[in-house]
Amino acid sequence: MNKTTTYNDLLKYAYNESGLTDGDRTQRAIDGDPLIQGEYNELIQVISQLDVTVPPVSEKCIDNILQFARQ
Amino acid sequence: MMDDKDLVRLYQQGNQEAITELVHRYKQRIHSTIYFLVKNQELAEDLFQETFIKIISSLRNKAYSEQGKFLPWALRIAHNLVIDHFRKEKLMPLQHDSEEFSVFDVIPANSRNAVDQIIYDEKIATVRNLLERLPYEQREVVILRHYAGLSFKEISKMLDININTALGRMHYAVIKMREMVEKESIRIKE
Repeated sequence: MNKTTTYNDLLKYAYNESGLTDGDRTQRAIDGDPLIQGEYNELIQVISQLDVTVPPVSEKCIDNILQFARQ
Repeated sequence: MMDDKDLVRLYQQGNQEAITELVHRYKQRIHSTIYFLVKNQELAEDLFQETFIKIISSLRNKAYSEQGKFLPWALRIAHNLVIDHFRKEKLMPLQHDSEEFSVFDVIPANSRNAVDQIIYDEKIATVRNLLERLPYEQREVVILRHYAGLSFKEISKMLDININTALGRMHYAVIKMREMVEKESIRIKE
């Protein structure tokens, strides 16, 4: 990792939290440094493991809430 | 799409459709957050309902003042209820206290075919396993960032920690999860 790009920068970039300028700088760092690129790819690989949709809340539960809201 | 601030105002003026919209807009994110924190579908649903009861009561009493920041506020209520639950039960979440859980209990049988269901079950078990093995503080940040969709800044505000602490916890969580994934794949290859 070079002096100007930290792991925090990569985390923010991965979650679209870098501003325009920082995002551009991070993207150039990823493109220009194989070490940073490797680190970023591993980060993306790990967080993509978390992509799953949780079982939905039951309709009964939603109905109870909306019924309470109407009281 | 109407923004949260307007929906809150409309509900406070008596418009029921506004609260229906808010519930549907955020149900998945709030429920996922609670679900992965408590690791129990039934309890998650109870706490989800309690969260919205509190939200609605606060809106009625005009106790909501964080204009435009509905989700972080709602998640703070959910998070406090989770902490209260653990306090009442006098336990903090253990790392391997996985309960018997089957998505067959909550997803209508006809909505997925058997193969999809098995794949889905395995996937969710893998994610639960990864998250359960993280220390609570790291898991909390991962869940709030990945499932609740809060920014690191919002997470730091909600948990009353420095943003670098939030990022640091995420970083350690990623390292730990990477080790787990590597170990698992080595085991499968062997």
